[in-house]
Amino acid sequence: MKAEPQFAFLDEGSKKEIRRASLKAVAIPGYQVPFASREMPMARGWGTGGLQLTCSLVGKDDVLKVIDQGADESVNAVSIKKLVQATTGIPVTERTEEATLIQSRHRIPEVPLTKDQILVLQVPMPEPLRKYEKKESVTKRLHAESEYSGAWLMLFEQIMKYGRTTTGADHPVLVNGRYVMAPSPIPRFDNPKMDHSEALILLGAGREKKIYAVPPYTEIRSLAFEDHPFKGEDFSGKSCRFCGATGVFLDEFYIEETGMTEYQCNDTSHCADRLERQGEKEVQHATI
Amino acid sequence: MQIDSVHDIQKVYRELLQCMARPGRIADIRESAAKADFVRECHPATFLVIQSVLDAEVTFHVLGDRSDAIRRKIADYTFAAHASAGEADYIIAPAGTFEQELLDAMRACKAGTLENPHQSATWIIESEALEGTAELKLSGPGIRDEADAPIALSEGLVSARNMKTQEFPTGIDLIFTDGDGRISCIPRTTAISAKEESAWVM
Repeated sequence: MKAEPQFAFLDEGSKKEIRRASLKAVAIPGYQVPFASREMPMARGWGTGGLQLTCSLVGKDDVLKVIDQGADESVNAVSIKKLVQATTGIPVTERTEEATLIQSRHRIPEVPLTKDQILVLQVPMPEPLRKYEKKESVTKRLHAESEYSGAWLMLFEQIMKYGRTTTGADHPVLVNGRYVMAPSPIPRFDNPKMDHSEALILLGAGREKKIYAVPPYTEIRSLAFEDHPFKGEDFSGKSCRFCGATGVFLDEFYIEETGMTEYQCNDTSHCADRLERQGEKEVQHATI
Repeated sequence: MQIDSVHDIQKVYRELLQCMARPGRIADIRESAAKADFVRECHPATFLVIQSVLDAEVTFHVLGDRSDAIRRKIADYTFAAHASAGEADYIIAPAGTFEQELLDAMRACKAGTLENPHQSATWIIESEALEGTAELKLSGPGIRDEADAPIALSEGLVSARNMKTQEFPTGIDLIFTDGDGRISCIPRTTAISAKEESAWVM
């Protein structure tokens, strides 16, 4: 007799513990709720926090999308999809609009999310203050006292040294005017998508054993100074070399043969979707 | 029909999570609640919420004069331990609990600390039908502008709750259940005002 795997891999007790932490996380936006973080059949640091959240959430009626740095087909995304699919049998999709659950590493999809979707973000380092304070007991106290001068100083020093803030990704945000939070290593371009999001956003750090959340319609402000306003990555005047999209997050490629720099969509499914629609249009025109 | 400890509980949890994320939203868990019709001690919806969050790792406290029966039921099904109102992780207020008892327990219950605000009590309150006319106006995270919620809460209870949540991030989170399989939530971040804000008559 072949034993069936437990639905969504985790045992019900583990799910319950993750669910309790998630409910608290939603009730205290931006606060990192500690949780037990189970062993997963995947190395810590590869999205085990996100995966545990996904497993605690997923039901038979869900449609799952997993992205890794904007791509649906990368190794990390594919293996997570395979595990969830093997233990639940639910369908997976690449189209953002079709998904009810979206687990992502380092990006928020270009297509705006809706209230019927939940975004799960994988977090390597949930503590935004860790860069200058090593002790968890101290950072916990700093959060308790809302003592964030260190976070501001870090940005100030960057401006003094380089003339601008140099946080490539994971630019700290202030949640609901209270907690400074690491938005996970999403590009600064994606930070504004968190502000008053329609979808619930859950963040899970497996190695660091923390779950935190951004409820819908919650104010998310990227830390910035009055005379140095927050700026996302700027792609003005550039477009995707395949689908021609502008106003999206673009990857930069140096083409050796031509010595030119070219750009293409980072969100692969958004790009493929656009190409498909352009193709359909061409066919329609051809038949007319 | 038996409650499916995997899929019914998952459905209830997802509704509960969306309710906690969107205060005042009313969720319908009737389909799963119908399977808990063997429960006489409390609303089937209450029983399902309890099943989805309680286990041997947490403690609970039951209010009201039928507390013994409910307490036994919960302990039998979840293995959670009973604790005093001041120590319990979950406080259950069955329908018909006297207001004074509610107020006393609300004053006594855990609200967490500034360092560990998650170590606070979550309330599961059996309320009147969660439908019909809006009783409360809610605002805060999870709510676009303002939301009307058909949750009947006495003035005394609202002010006791507001006292408990005045120093964010400490506070208490409330889950409401009714006899028709509906649930709703008011987390600590929500600002509550009565629907009929007494118009200022000059």
